[in-house]
Amino acid sequence: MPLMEVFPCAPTLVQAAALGEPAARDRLVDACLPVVLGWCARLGGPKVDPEDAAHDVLIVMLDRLDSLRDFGSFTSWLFGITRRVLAKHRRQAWVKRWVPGFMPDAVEPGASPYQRAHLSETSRRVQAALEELPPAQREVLVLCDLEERTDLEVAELLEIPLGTVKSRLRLARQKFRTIAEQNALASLVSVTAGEGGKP
Amino acid sequence: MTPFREVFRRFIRETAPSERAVARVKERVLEPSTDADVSRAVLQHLPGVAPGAEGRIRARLAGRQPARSLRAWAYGGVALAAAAAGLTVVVAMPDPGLAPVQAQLASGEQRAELAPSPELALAYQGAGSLEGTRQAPRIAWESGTVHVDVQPHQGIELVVATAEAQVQVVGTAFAVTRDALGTQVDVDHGLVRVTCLDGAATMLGAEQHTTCLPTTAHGMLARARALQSQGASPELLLTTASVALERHPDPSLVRTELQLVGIEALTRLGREAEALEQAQDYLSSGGELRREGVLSLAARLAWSTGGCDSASPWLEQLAVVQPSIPNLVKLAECRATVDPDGALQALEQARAMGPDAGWDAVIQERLAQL
Repeated sequence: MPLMEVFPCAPTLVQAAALGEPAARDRLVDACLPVVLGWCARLGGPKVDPEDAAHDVLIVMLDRLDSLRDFGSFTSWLFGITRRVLAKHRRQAWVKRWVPGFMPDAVEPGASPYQRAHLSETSRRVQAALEELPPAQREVLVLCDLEERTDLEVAELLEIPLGTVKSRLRLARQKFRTIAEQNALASLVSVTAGEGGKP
Repeated sequence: MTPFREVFRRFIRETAPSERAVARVKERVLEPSTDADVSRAVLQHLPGVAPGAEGRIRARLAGRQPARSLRAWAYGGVALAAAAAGLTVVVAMPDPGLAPVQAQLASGEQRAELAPSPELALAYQGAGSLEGTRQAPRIAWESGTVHVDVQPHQGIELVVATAEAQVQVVGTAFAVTRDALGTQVDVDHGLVRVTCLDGAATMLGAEQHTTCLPTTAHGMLARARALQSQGASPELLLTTASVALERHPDPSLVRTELQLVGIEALTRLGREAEALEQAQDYLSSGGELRREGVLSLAARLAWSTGGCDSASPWLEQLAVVQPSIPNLVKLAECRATVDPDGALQALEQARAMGPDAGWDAVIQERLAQL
């Protein structure tokens, strides 16, 4: 499936938004927001508030849109922004630990109210397990096994060779399985299989 | 058994897979799918997107609320710096976007949220308003000077609009001053496109400037008055009046005032014949507000260019509308050769307006000559 069908941001829409048409910019934000928010939630890790990160990604996207030359590569460009913003938020989360009194509103550094209220213990452990993977493997694993993108799509999205995607995916799965088993998460496999797959 | 058959059997025997090889291949085939199953199943338990998250982000984009991050501290510091810098407002928030911005700009106020992005710095002395979006702010400038510094290549599409001009910029520093003279644009560095609302458009580079003239007749008159008070050259005054008269041909009180500005400028330039012609136009166009003054000026101009022959018609009119001693004495001089009785009558009228220590002796002398 072509990438643009998975993430339907037509180059013409991107171009119109880059030219500053307010309606086009609004439509672009509407189209990007769910995807970006999903990326931030899955790749941000436990210390990053996905809403803050997604907000910043969209701001950067709008700010830099006029620098985009190939409108057809918008999705990979946006993923690159997301990756950089998430890295920045991760660094900031680390810095926050050393700024006294910086987050008086947070009981647990980095956790949003929703996360604090609704994350189950299992979710926290899965998130922690995913965090143990190298970032490059984590991206490929989430995009392929959680978002169900083909390795070809992921290669296009990450702008890396298809063979690299396959090797990263194989290593990521191996390592994640080991981590899952070490953290007693392997028992989730049979339960999920019995439920019939993804929600 | 043929030799060929024996060869085949040997080949099959030697190429048969070992049990270990079969096991290795089986492991390689099956293992990835097993790992994939595990990762897919476990990843289902990753936390998803919180309910209402998209709505909250949209609201933040629309309301320009910053993300909860270290920037909050930066805001405080920048706000303090802006306050310390007087009217200069610089914001370190790198968040241009769709969010609307709106604020009144007035001298003496410092509001950190006025600057829509870190790439834009405003310093102003005067009044105006800020609207548009963070990505495309628009300053409607009413009066005074607003100085703008836009960092290049940041996608900021700034427009400063006045009643006379629209200044568009992508990456530069410039100042827009609006006063009675019109709208003046001074470029510090970079490049701006200035479109005057009268249709003239120009590109300005570093240290260049241009002025967009007022678009209304009364605006042009205000410009002329301001130039006069500044002691501007008659050439500039004449240009201002000429442009205004050309753009606003409909008869009006303002137009006649502009005509007068032109007449005075021509007189100062020594172009008396043209000034006299303009004075005739003024009087024939029904200008009444300063009729006496224009008649007096026309009489002097006519006298200097053609003596009594030229001045007599104007002096005759002045004797009716503004009968002063000097005018009547001058009229008597012109009438003396062609109409002695008329000259005598003018001198008698002038003497009746006295006594005037300065003119009584002159009147007496003229009467004696007649």
